[in-house]
Amino acid sequence: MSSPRPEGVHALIIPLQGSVLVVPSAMIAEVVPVPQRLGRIPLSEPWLLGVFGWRLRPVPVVSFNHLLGAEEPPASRRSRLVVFYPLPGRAAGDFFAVLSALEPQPRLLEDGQEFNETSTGPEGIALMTRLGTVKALIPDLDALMKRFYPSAVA
Amino acid sequence: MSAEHQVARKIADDGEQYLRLSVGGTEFLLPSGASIAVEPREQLTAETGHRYIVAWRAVLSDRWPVFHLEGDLSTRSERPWAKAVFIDAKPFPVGFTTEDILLLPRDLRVEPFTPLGRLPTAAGPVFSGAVVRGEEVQLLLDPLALAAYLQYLGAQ
Repeated sequence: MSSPRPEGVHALIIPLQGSVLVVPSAMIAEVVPVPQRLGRIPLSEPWLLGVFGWRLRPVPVVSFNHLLGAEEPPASRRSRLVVFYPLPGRAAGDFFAVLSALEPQPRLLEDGQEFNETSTGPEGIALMTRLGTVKALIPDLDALMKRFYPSAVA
Repeated sequence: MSAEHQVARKIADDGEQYLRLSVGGTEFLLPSGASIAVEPREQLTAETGHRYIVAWRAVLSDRWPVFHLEGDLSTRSERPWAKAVFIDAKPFPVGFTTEDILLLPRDLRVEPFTPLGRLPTAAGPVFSGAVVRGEEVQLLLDPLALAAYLQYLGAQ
């Protein structure tokens, strides 16, 4: 008889500047290297770093550091783009990517064992906590919808 | 075929052609039908007293302004330009500077694309589509929103 599988959430830990973003792995379509040149998007929000081609689609690249009011350091060779599936309710092609400072790491978060010192976060963050010694941020999808698609949500 | 790809194919099937414009060193696309005139710089009357307008095109008793645009669609007047592209607007058409223009073949595949975040103009997003080549992306200018942006600059 096999032992029961541990319950929990398969998450991806996305390194940012001084913190990590914790998202369910099911939200992620792919992790890819940063292209040599991101296309600029003139007259756009400061947190929108640019656009790149992925699977024949234009995919916007978001700086979560900028969204949280921090500076975004230049991408390095170790940086990655984390391509997210469209947010709930959005069109099937509305992928977006988040710049990650390093290769994101998968992790199984078991119920009630990983998070401590939880608190509410800034706009766009549902919960701030610690994952080991690192500040961990859990995004607020409703708030992201409002930031990304303000005219659709209004 | 997904709904998006159907939209993209429909755009192509409608026979729309696109201009590739080099604006401040960055390439953008514009529906060719949106351009009502293209004039070489030599045919235009230079303007030196306006913050954003660099030339005028005389049309009968009217004149159409030409705005100098950089690759980020700002209006710093630093880079040499060769031609002005005019798009229709009310009460009169507006133009912007470009270094080079090329009419692209009809088989271009344009994907829907709207930048995330707040709209930069009351007329909506300045970009309404994109052409993807590998990792590179060329953005498609929305003529109505671009005209609204230029008119906003002209009123400054």
